[in-house]
Amino acid sequence: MAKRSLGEFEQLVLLAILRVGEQAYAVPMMSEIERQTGRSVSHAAVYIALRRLEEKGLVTSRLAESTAERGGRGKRYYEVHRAAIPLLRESRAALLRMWDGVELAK
Amino acid sequence: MKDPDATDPDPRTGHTSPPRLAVSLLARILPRRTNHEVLGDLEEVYAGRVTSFGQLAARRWYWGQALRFVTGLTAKSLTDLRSKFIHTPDWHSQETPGRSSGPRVQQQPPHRRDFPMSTLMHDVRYAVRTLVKEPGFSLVAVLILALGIGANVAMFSVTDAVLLRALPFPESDRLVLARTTYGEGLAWNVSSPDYYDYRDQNQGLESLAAVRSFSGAVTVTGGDEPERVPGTLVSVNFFPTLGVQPQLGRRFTAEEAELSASDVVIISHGYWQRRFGGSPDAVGATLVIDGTPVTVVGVMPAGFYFRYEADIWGPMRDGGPYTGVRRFHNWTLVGRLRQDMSLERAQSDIDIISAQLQAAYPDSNDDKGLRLFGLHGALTQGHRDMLFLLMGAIGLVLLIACGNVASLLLARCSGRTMELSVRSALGASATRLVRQLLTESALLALAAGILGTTLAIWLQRLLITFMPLDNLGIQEIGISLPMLGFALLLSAATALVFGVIPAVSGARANPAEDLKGGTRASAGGGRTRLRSSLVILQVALSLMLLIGAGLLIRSFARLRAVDPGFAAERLLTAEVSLPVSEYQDPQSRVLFFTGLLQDIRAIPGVLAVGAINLLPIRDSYSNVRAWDPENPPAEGTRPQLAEQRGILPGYFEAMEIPILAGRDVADSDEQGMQFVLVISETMARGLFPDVNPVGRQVAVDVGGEEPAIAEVVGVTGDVRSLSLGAEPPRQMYYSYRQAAFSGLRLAIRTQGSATAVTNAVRRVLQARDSDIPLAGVATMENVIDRSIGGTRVIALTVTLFSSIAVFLAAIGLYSVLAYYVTQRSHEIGIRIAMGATGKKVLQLVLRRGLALVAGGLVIGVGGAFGVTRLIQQQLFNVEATDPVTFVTVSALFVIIAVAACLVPALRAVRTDPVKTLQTE
Repeated sequence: MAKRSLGEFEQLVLLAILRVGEQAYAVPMMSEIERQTGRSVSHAAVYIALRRLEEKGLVTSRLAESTAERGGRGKRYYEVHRAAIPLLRESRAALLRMWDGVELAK
Repeated sequence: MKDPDATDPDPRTGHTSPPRLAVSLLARILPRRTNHEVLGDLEEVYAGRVTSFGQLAARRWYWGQALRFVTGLTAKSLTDLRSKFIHTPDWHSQETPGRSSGPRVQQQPPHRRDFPMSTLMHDVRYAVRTLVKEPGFSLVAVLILALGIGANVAMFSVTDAVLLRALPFPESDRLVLARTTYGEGLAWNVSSPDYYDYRDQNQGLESLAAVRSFSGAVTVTGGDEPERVPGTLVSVNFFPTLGVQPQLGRRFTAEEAELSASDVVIISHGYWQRRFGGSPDAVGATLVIDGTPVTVVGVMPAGFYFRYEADIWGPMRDGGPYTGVRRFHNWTLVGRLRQDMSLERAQSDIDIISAQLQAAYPDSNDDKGLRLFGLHGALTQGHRDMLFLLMGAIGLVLLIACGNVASLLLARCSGRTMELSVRSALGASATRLVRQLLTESALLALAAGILGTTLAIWLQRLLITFMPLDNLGIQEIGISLPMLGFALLLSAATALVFGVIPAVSGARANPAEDLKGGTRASAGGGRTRLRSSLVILQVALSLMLLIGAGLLIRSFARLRAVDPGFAAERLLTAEVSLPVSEYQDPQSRVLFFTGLLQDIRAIPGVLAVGAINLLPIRDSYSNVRAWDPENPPAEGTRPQLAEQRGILPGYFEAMEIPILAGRDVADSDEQGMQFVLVISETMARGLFPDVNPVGRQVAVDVGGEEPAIAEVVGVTGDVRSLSLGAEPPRQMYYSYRQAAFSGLRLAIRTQGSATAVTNAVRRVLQARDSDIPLAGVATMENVIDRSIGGTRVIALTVTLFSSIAVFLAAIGLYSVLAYYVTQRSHEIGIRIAMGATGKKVLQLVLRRGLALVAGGLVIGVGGAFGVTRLIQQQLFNVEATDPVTFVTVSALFVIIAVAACLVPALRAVRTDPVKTLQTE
């Protein structure tokens, strides 16, 4: 099988989980991405990326308590699986290597 | 005058749960496992957005998110599908030339895969070839879709013109309509003293204008023959407020608002053409209106229209008609907001004036205010529900049409199993096949879209003729950019809706199985199931529409059967107005009319004739406050309104309105005698609940300081005077002899056909005064029919739509069963060979068909229970869940469905076992 690499959006989602920490469910993850990148993301995009990452075994999730403002519906908390760590590391390293020595004209 | 006094709902109040439809859509498409958390996430953010951006914005956001889920999940499942079918991507992605009995497969050099455009062109070419090869199928599919798309586009263009397009005035978003409020209540009109105060004191409006129609048409003489012309009175700033200029001549000047100024009018483009042949000399010409000479100072451009049909505009004058009494509300106000002024700020300024007026005139203004509305929204309010209802109904028809075509495509897919399998075996990926099949659908939809739009242009004209949109002045719409955009969008959406299911199902080809299967058409179990669900859906949707139509028809029948309180059959109505200049003395008018009635009574075929100033249903009304002087309303409350009408003796007899107590007005109830009233049953019950009303007194507010006191001489039955659907209000009739205004309406009861006496009546009138036209001749039945025209149009249109829907559903049912019979002909042949009777075979097929119908019935009836509530407002005396309608319509539907099932079932019975087994 070909060596797996992460898409840009997948990276954003994984990093969002790591930044939000223990309380990582879709809503705070989205605001984190929006806050840091300044671009608005749809629930659908985040949800589909999470499903894909989960299918690939890169994130794990658990269902948790519900609150009133959610119409009594539960939350799903996500955690980055350790299998994702080398991939993230590789993505970062690859990007840094590529940037090394590159200067963009103003 | 007859406008509904509805209040605008405030979009920011109410509960804050997300849009139900979007939620249930999401719940349906999301995998069950993750359903809850996603809906929870969305609801959480939604709640936050409601607080920060308002409910409207939040709902829009929620829908946007939901739609992105739809597209995102569709894309995901297509890719998943693809990866499921492509195990060895390397060699599979190249197609190799091969020989087969299937259609030719073009070789694709590997590099061309990477150029989507060339693949697209290839797909299109291939699709065109396939579709042309089966002209019958293509034609049917295109026609069904074109009908659906055409009707939708036509309906959209009308809705767009009415609801979305701006008014034809410059910067029309600054135009506002100002309506009177009474506590919680809302009325259209404003009194002239209030108007002047608001106009002069407010800070938020650049200008505030007043308009009202003449009480009837006016008579213009001096031409070849006298004619009746409709017109309105307008304040002199009316045209500047709207921002329109006459095409010829000038607008009114400020001086022309003075009572002493000379009489001037502005005429419409149409009247200018008719009366003056479009000559520029019209400006400065003199018209004789109701006997008074007036000068034409301007001609409005063609198409100018505001609320009332009008050929003549005269200036509103303080001290002139309909002015002077703060309690009498006669004027519709239209204003223009100052630049950069918000409606809210202008409103709060108006509220301050209202408070001052309340303090200054507690008698007339104690709970009165003025409320500003955006003009466009206020004018279209009455049409919104009807248009949305029809849009919804016609949208359902298109959905059913899509289901039908999807079902056709699925059946065709089964026939193409070999072709698809060969292509797949040769290496076409699932995505590639999906794309190919989708291209075919897109082509079909495109053809249907073009044909449908052409159809729409024709349908649009039909819709405008039938729909009661008169008060918006819409005569022609034509082709607009939004309409074409909608057609394009709709065609694309249509292609997706009817194309996706067959495409995905078709691409799920399983080469190994299909190619092995040989000629026996055994494939497509899944497809048959899909088609069955499509049919169930069609049955359900068309049943819902049919139930809706059933309710509307029942409601219309109830409305039509309402007893208006008088007999409408064989009753001719017409109006006769006397020029004030020649009949100045009220006594001369009384003499004229009593003489005219005598002449008409003498016409053979006339049984009775009555005269009244405002006929029920046909004309507007006038109402004033009236109370029992011995039992006046409590301090702080105001007496109720009662409609007042002036009659000559014989009116009740001619109309067949029963006199329940006392007597009709009499010839002896003249000027100078005791003022008399005949009151309606409802009014009698309201004012004199415990005593005999005859002989009692009634106080009537006639605009002066002191009320007029009248004696009740009779009580009559109630009459539905405003519309058939409205409960009769309090009514009273005074003697025309005691207050004779210039015109009366005639009600002529005839022996035979009502219209047969028209010419005789005309001759009699001509003989009395050749300058007076007999206007507005119509039978009462026609008048009533016209008054419920809107209801009838809705009922008829929805019935038409639902008939189309039922027809399409029946075809769907038929084709699925016919296909089933073909598929099982082998099995059926064996059964017959083994001795199965015709009845058994019939049962076998019918059971299958009726199972589909039953499924559809359950969903359809359930859906109708939920959905028909939406049309409750359109229903008269019928509950939205009326069990009789539900049962009758379902039964009717079952009969149609059984008929549709019987055709293939009978064919199955005739199966020749020898033949079917031979072909094996």
